[in-house]
Amino acid sequence: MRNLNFKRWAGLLLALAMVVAACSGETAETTTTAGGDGGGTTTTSGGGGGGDDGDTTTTTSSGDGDGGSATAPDTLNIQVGEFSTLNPFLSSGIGRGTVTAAIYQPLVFLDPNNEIRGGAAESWEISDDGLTITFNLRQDLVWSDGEPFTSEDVLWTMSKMLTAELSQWANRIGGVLGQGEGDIPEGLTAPDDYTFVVQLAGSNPPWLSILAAQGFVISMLPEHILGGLSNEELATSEYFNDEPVTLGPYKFVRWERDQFVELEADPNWPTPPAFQKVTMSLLQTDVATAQLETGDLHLTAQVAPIDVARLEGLDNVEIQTVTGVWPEVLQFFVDTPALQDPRVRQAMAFALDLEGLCSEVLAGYCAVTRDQVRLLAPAWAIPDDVPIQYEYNPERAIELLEEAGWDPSTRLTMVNIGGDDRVRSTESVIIQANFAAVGIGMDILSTDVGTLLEIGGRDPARRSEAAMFINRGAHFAADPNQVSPYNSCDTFFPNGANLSFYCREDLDALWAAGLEVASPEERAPIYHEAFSILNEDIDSLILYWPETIVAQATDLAGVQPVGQPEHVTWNIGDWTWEG
Amino acid sequence: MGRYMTRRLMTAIPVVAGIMLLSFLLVQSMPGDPLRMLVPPDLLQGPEGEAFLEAQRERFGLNDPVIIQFFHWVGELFQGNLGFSFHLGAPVTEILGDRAGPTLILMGGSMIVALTLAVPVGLMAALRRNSAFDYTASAVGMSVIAIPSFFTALAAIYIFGVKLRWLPPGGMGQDGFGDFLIHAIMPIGVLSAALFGPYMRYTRQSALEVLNEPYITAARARGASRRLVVGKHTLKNAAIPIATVTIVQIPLLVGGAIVIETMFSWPGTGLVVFNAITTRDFPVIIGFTLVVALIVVVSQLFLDLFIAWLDPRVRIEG
Amino acid sequence: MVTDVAMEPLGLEAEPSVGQSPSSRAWRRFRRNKLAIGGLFFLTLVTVMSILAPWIAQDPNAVDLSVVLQPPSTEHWLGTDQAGRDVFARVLYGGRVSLLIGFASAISTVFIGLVFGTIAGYRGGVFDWIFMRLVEVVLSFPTLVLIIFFVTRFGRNVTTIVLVMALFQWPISGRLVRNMTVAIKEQEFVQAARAFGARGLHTTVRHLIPAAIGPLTVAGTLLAAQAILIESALSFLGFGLSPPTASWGSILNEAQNLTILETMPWLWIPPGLLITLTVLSINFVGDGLRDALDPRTSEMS
Repeated sequence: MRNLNFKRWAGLLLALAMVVAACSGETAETTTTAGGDGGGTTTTSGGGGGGDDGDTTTTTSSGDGDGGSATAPDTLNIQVGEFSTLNPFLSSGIGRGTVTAAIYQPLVFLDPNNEIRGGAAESWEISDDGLTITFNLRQDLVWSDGEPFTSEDVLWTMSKMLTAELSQWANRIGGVLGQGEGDIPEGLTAPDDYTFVVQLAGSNPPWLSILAAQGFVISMLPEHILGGLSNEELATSEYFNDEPVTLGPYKFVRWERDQFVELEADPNWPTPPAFQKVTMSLLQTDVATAQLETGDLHLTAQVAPIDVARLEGLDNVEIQTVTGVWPEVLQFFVDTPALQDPRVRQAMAFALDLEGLCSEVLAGYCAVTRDQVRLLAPAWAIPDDVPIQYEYNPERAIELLEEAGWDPSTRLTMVNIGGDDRVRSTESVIIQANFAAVGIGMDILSTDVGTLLEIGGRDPARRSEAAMFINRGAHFAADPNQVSPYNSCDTFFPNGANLSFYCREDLDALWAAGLEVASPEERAPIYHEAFSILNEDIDSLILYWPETIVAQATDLAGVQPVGQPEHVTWNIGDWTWEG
Repeated sequence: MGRYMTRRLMTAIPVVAGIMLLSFLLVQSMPGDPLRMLVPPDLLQGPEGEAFLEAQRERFGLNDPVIIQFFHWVGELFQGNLGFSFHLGAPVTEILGDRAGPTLILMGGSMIVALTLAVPVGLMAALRRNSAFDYTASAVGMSVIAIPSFFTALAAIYIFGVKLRWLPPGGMGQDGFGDFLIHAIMPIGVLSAALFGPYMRYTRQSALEVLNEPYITAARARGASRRLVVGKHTLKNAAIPIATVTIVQIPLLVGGAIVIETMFSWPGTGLVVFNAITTRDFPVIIGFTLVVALIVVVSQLFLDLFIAWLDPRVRIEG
Repeated sequence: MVTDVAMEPLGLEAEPSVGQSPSSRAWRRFRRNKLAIGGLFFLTLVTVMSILAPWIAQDPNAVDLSVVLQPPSTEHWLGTDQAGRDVFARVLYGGRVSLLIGFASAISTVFIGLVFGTIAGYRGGVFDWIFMRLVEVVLSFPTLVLIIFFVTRFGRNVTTIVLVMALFQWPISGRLVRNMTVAIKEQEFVQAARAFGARGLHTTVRHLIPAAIGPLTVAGTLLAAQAILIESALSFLGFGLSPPTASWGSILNEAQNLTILETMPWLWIPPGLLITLTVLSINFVGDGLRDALDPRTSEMS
């Protein structure tokens, strides 16, 4: 199905203390920014000094950040999500992207408007056949130890990122000529100090946008430090967590696990940042909210919808929201006998009061896509008129169920892996009630990711224990083809992300065809057809697209939230204090 | 004394062995592939995904049969290693070592605060049995047990952190001892409130039992002053049961500490162990259970030896 | 949640008062304890209300998105929650679950302890040695971590929670029973019965039960209180029962947020108060029972 973000699940439980919000961000892994045209629009609902002028808001705190005062703090304090390692080759947690975005450079990345933008690369050219990408690198960058940044660093980093024995990204950004053969694949070259060339093994139009989508995690690393290390040493080295040499406006000072990461301004950086130090703290949501109120914390991208109104009432806090990149998805096991008829799944889409869910449970900080495909890919790939618009219509649901010969005695099980996530448990009971209203009986089974993965494996006995689960998926705005791993016949879990076991040969053929041609004009009709199939088949049901909610000190300027909340620090070098 | 010590040690060894075996077996029975869980499945497609997982398994010794893994782990244990965390990519000893300090401060601090308050109150309550003081103390003691500590913690954050702004709402202070102390007040306060109840009740009960001993009754009958009776005998005799109970309670206290650490973003072992369970980070879970169990067993051992040293009869009954 | 039965005085030190019939005297003593009577009254009230929930309250799981987070009204006496469900109904139904978990855990814990303890105490020797070591092993594990473990392994339902609590709490009652059994076994009439060929175990149990019932009841009350608190801690940590099932712990946990604490007291006061008062009442009753059953400590001062 479209989106499985396992780190997100793990994150839910992992960062359990922190995640109460629907819109709290999780993984650094699966990515892309809110797409279409609408994505990336920032709605700033100003922290008006209205209502609440009680003692809560007027008091100045004794902390170093002081609500409303004009003096800029030396240290910028922001909240960070949980993460387990800063080693970019391995999996980690939600918070890693927040840190790496501040201390490293991506080669390319996706900006808030979902455009590919250069990080360490100043510009790039793509050959006419689409197989060769030439990156021109920035020449003014210097590592935190004073060594100049060159194409050797990029060559080494990208080679290692493509090494399957070391890097979890080897498949995601794979397809490079000669990958897996030799230390440096044939397809990677560095003709001079500031030029880096990638040759792809075959037609692969999405390659660059996939790389950009992972940009803040696939960070450039210093070859002059790490070049001599074996894969084994790189996988287990504490270097990344203890003393990394960095390439960003801020450099690493120390990381106290489960507490905070401390950074300081890097004097080598071309444009000196505004703050002497940055502290990124791991905080429980209520503690973070409280610290924001007292002025001790300057920014959090993990605000619970229920807290927004209260925070907006504060003079020293301002809220920004942006459409998120992870839809909340009801993921079907389509091999469940009762769910095999697409009309049953369509009926479920008609049965759910998604607007009610969005406005009442998430206080409206979310978007509902009634065609089920709208925000999944860039606007050019989505057809304007899809076969079915799924408005909230229980009568239609009942009709469809009758047509499909639904047996009212059927009982389905929905897995809920939300842990103590209040929004998740509330929405699961709303879904249960909506389904009950049209005659679909459903039980909720709360468990954790490990158990879900066992249930979702190939063993039919385990699989029959559940029919669906709720999951926060990742959005694929970068390229429509990124939806394919979730519904292709050859990517059934555990060999891929298709936990639904959904399989249609004609859809697979369309995904393949989309890779053969390069221009969006030629690719568009192919994807229109693919998304029409998904619209009718409902291999999974998109409940809503939660917004990323960023709460920050009013005096902090320059913050531009992105759909992936943890990448809020992508332009931290430009942040200033406007007293 | 020597023989008693040997005998006592001999019983501790099978207990520790049992704890090791049991925790290893429990962990092995957990559902889910710990390495696969860490990586989003969309990254694990194709031959590259398989190669990555295989390399990771090899790195963590997960390709060996369970029994080999167990002996390997035991072998490492004798060299002072608790294994290597899959999830955090660091040695377990280091991970737990880094966090042991905050947890020990939280638990130890709460125990000390709670005992300092509970013992005098409990003694007073026993001496003035059925008085207004006794009833009040009992009611307060039981009420603080009865409120779930996550809620006490939230209320404390709201009242002292947000409304009154007397104390920082969470985290652990980094700027010197004063800052640290200010951050420690709320977590220690909330946890010791939960401990106060049981400690106070137990002190009261032990004191009542001691007060009823013939020699105390006799002393009282002879007109010895209350203060003297309390000071000389009751406290001394009630001390051992109170100490025993404090130790016996450690495994439960750990649960309380996890909740408090989570609420106040207090960087102790609780959070890391909790994460380890959800991510099936076996080495961390086993390491932690083992450490807690060892602390309990060893302190129990010392206490028993101490009691035996105080009272020769124990050695004979042993 | 840090209450521990292990540390509660259970009147274990009292000699088994074999041959007496102390129940009426105990009841008289118990009645004199106002707190205990008050606790008993409150517990009875809550239990009855919970049992009668289907006749008093609305459907606790009826979702209504048009009345989300409403303050108390004539329609919804205690307001509504995030899914528009009636809080009064959820609290009453939640009481069924919380009380069930409390009492079922206590009973099964005591039962397992009784069986193991009797066998160990009676058979002695290797059995007893293994039993005592097992007790130490189980009592050394961090309880909450183990409970989370088992709930993850076997599912988040009432049965698992009850069984796991029993599995990790039985040593306390078990050790108590074992010590009593040993004491009784040593007594002359049992020795005599054995000499005459009567079944020793039978005789022992016949004498054990009346003697042990008091301390075990006290232990049981404390275990019940503790189970209710542990369940709420489980909910807090995200390992509670599957929705939509309500327990007091899960209702309180859903209210665990600064905004709710500040502006929506109807979501946290009722479950919070009920947990507190119930645990308090159970402990008062337990205290009253102990004092009533153990004259040594209650008749003095």
